[in-house]
Amino acid sequence: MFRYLPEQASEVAPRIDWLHNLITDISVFFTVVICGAMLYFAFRYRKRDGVDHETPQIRGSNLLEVIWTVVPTIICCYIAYYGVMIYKDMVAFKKDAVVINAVGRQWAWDFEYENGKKTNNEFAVPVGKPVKLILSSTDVLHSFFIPAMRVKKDAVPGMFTSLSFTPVKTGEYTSFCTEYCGKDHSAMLATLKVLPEAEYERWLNDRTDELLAAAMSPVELGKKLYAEKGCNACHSLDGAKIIGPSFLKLYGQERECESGNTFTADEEYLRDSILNPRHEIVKGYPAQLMPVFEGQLDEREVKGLVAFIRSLDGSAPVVEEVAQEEEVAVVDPSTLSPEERGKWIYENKLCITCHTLDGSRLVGPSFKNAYGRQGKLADGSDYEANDEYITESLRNPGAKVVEGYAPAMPPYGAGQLSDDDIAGLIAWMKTVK
Amino acid sequence: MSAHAATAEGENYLNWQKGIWSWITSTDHKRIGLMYLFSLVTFFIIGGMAALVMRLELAQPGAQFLDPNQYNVMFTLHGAIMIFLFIVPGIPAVLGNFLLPLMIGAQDVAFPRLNLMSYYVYLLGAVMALIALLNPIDTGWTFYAPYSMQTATGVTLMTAAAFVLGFSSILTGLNFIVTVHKLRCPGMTWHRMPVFVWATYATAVIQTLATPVVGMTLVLLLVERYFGIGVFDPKLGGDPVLFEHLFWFYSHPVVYIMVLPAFGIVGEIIPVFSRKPLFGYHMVCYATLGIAVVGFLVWAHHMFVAGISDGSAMYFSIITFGVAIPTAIKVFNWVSTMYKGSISLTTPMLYAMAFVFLFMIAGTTGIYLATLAVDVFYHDTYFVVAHFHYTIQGGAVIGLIAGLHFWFPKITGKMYNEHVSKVAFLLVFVGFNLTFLPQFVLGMEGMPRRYFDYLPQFAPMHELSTIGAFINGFGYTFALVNLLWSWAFGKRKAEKNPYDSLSLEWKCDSPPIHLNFETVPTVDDYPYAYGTPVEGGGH
Amino acid sequence: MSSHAAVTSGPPEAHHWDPQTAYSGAKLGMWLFLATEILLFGVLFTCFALYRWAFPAEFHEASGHLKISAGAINTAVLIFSSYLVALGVGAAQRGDNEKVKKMTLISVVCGLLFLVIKSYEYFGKFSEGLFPATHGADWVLYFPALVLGVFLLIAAALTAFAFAAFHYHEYSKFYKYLGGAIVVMVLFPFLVSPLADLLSSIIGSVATLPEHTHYAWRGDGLTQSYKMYFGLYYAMTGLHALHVILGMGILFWVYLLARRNRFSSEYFTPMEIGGLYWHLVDLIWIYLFPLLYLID
Repeated sequence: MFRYLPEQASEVAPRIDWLHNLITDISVFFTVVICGAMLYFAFRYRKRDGVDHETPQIRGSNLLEVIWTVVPTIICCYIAYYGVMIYKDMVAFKKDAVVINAVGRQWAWDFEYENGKKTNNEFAVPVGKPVKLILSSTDVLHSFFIPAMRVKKDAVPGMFTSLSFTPVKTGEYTSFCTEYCGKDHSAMLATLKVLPEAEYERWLNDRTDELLAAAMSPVELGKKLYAEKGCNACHSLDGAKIIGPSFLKLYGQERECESGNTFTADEEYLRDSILNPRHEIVKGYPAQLMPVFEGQLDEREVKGLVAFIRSLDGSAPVVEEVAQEEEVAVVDPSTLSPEERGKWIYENKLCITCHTLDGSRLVGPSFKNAYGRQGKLADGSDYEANDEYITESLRNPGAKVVEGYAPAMPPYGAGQLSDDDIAGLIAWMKTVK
Repeated sequence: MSAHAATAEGENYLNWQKGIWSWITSTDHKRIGLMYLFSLVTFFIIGGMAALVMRLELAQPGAQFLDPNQYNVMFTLHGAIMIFLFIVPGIPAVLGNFLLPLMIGAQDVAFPRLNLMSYYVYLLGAVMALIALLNPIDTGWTFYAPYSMQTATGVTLMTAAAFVLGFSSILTGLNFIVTVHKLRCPGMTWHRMPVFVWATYATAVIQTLATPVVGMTLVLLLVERYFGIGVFDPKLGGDPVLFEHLFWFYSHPVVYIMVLPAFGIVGEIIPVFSRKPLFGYHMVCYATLGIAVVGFLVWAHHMFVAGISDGSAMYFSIITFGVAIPTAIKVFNWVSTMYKGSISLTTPMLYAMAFVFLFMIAGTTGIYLATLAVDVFYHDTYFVVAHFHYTIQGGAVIGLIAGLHFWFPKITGKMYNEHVSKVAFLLVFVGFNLTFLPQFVLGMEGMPRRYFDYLPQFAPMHELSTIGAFINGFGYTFALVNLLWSWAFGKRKAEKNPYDSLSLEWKCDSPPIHLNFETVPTVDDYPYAYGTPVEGGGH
Repeated sequence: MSSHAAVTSGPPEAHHWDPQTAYSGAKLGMWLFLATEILLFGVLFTCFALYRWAFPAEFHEASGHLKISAGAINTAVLIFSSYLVALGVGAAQRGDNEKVKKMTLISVVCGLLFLVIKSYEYFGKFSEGLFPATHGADWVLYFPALVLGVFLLIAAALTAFAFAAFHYHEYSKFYKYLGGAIVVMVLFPFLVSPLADLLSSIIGSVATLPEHTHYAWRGDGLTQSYKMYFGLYYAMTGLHALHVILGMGILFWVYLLARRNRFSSEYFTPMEIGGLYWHLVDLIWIYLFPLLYLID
């Protein structure tokens, strides 16, 4: 029986399976005994030749009643007890747990780690350490179920619930949504990656996805969010009505709402419709259906979405999946002088997103007067920003992080920056005053 | 009692008044029971078709011929129709109405006109539900907030229909309680009533007390949808889990409304075809009442992972075991009845024995779900789907079919074709197990329920289940057609008491006269005094 | 069953049970029904209790909007009518049909007075902008709603007449009254607009009607739980008002029976069970009044 259960990937799984199999053994035993007795009686005491034989008028047996009340009660107490005790272990507070926020929405999961890393529909945890997911929902009830870990908890809008487990095996596991939530309830799968500790740390600190998003233009960001936040489930880009209005040529149109008011679909209106869609529903569209994004999108993201919708004026052919074109460098950096090369790399290899040139602090230290700078590292030791240090900071940024900065910088391996590239960067940084 | 003109020879409740007007204004509990029967069978067929559509779609992964929204509508309709329009009225409306007064020696129920009104209220709810099919809902039969407050489908009409149907249930329950208290014939003490009467009484108590709660909850849901008062909407300060508590406060006891009468039917059939008293009659009666009472205390075992506190979860888990034990006691008593009996394997007896097997599976799989740590894994997976189909279909529906066959001679005055009914039984039994045993496996593999599409690894079990569903459907069709055909065209007339049963309903004609009994009967023993008395009273 | 030659004041010929059993059966049935009503209201009381515990400050402030005087008068009216109904039961047991007529009729009038005061309270709330809905409502719906209430009362009265006629197997009268009730409900959609306009012009001549809807929920500083208080207030008092209308219908039917001198020392069941229902309606209000109006 138990071979149908998923692999035992969490610490508590073997105990749950033990209890499960115990119940199976007891159930099979009683079913076989009782049904066996029933079939035996039906055969042994069957009517012969169409005539009833004599039967004793046994009305009952107090002794038997007592036995078959007490014995099942004891068995049930035993099972109930272990069910409760194992559950207590499952929900017990664990001090060194990795805490991850998981927010469910129609129809995807958004994960956020303590260091700020955000992922969508997949998340990673280190093997052997307790994990705690803090669950919530932005719209309707959802539920987070990882069969291999034997855990499940509903994600309820307006409150926080949690589930805990300790993975014991590395691997990839699927999680399902197990509370009916509408159209794509069965598509709301997520992937759990259980990684060795070191690989997990690297994964945790790898924020390139977010940096890429930070470097996007508003329209690109809007297009990315359009798919990521699920707008594509209800709003088409080609004029067809799915559930909500199509975004094609939406910008600038006059809309009449259920309340009787008329609006032009300008920035203000689109913004209001995204953040507070229950406010004014366009006539002819179902009310109460669009999720409210107030508190879920920051300013930049809302502007991005509005810019994206505005861009859909029918002039450019709209293709939902536009392959990210590789940046064809008009300039071949190897033809530039070292300083020019360094500057080109700074502008095109994303350094610009975290390091300013004017002394202000973004995610990382400003490059103004950075070369030769001296200071303290996160571990308390001293550093000096010489050639060696800068090279190491590019190749392996997590090694020597300056005090007061997050270990968020992605590594630039040999495939991304050659030694000549780095030489150019250093040469240019010397000029940044 | 005032004198009545003696009933003419051959006159019975079916033919003493003719014409459709005499039926639709009839306050005769027997005619009302039959009217319910035809309505219920109609909705069973509609709900069953929804199930077959679902199973066709689920036979293979990927979309076959439905889109996700249509599939979601299908499983909602299957649940809502089967539950609110078929199995909750179920045995009480059909066999309870027909048999209750007969079994206690009364002429009718306590409030015959109220009984007729119950039927019309049911019909009104049924019509509303049918109209609701024009914009069919996709919330699941559980109408969970906030989704049910947001979806654009016809939640209003469907929940209003459920509310109206609830009234029918309440009025029937009220009627039956007063009937059992006040209309028993001379000599019929509580401990001489058949177990079916005890079961119907316990069911009526649940119907009367639990249904108002869900009625009000559904009204609140509607008010929430239209006025946004905020009781269930977190954005307005409300709590979705409150809806779940209020909903399950009724919906757990409702499963006992479905199954307790079936327990009663099995308790009637087995002694008759074993020629032995029902073993442990008193315990069976008390266990029935016990299940009804404890059934009100366990509702949140449907909500272990819903966000209730750990302490509450532990309480509800432990007390749920308290409702398993009386059920086990009954099963032991039924099987013990057969010991040293003289067993006739008639169709009702086959169904009753199948019931014991199917309910063993139902009950033991319930243990997994009551066990807290294990339910965390199984909640909202196919394991639960299989469990409740074993209890509701393998329990209540099998009980209803067993009862329809057992009392067929009494109701119609004819006998059905025993060979055809046994073939139908086999199809139903094989088909049902083939449909739902694979679903236990799916649950073990971790497949969630209410899924339009699934990962390919789950496909083999789904294929088996779909095949089983069609065999099952065919079996029911066979069984029902056989009964209808035998009634319409059957030639074999039934005697008053073809099975030599001791309960009162077999003392009147087959079919009974309009007022049930020519003279008021009296009883001096319970209706299970079969066999030769033994020394020591047989205890 | 053949129709009765003359209506006696004895128990009805119930063909399957004796008068004593019929009486105790009817009482048991009515007590069971009262239990279901208590469970029905219990859901609302539970919700109110839960949310009051969760949001005490807002509920306290919101309840300040209720006029205690109106609630107190309503309480007195209902208690008084319950007292009259109790007197009516005693009268029915003595066969004093005249007194039964008086008691039931005055109780019906008390019920009407209760509804009028309630309606005045609702009117006041709507003009303050405190609507049952948290989004989009117009206070001018008040007049159509009043008209609906009046239509419901008329339909209830006609149904009571119909039921009494059916009870006496006077089928022609039964069809007449049932038809009348159906006609009333069918005509309602067509008559509501003109009648509501008429009503608003009448009330407009004695009171100042607001020019446009002032919707308090759009105001600043009002939290969601404040709105929830009013949602629950309207749900509870509205459901109760519906039951008052039902109770009035039942008492009116008893009045019609008394008009035919139906009650005697041998038969007074309808008065008693009708009285039980009215007492329940009163009891629920006695729970509602302190809960909503008095508790801080």
